[in-house]
Amino acid sequence: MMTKAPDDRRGAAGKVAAVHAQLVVVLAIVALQLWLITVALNEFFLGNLDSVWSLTIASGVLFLVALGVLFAHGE
Amino acid sequence: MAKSTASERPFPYHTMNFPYQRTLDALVTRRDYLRLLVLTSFGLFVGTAGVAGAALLNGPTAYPRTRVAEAAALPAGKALNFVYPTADDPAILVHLPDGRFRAFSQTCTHLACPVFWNAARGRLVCPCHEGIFDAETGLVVAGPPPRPLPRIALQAEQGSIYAVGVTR
Repeated sequence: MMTKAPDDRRGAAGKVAAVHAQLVVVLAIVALQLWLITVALNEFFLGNLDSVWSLTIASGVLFLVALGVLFAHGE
Repeated sequence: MAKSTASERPFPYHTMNFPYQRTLDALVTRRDYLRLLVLTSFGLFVGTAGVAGAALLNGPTAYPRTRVAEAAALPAGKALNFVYPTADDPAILVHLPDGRFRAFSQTCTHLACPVFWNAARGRLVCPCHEGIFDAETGLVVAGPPPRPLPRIALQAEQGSIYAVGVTR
């Protein structure tokens, strides 16, 4: 009896599921970044200028993760 | 001229007024949406970096170094009014109970009344509308002021306190 190769199991439904997973992760990242920019603005107007840089770095890391997720499935 | 029936028309009647093609819906795929989200992510990062850039530009502005007071002449828990950076800018120097010195603009960020040191509360208080500021950071603790008090950078040297800049 022949068995399917691992790649054959990824049909159209599998590809759609993978894109859905990417969407969920990137949506969560965008939501986090929205929160970060809100906190950054709040800190800026409060005068806590030091913490704004760490928030920027966190936002940049999240963007890189989103970019990695985008290219994770042969984009 | 007789109105054509639905079966005779090659397209729905409403499309004469609203030429909307249903198939255009399919042009935005999930992958397109994903790319758009990643672009949004980049935009949010740039926005946050912009806030950081603005914070960098809003750092302490250097002004001429000015001697404010002798440290020994101001006991802990007391405050002293002075002017800095110009004669039109009232400021207040506070000797905190823990021994540290802090200086702020004396102009309330609400409606520009002068704030004063309330030793009993350990806060800077604006009497006009009960605005209250933290004496260590200048942050608003209560009341209507929308922003913290501009902080005056201090240096201690040979027993004297000097004002060297302002962070707005």
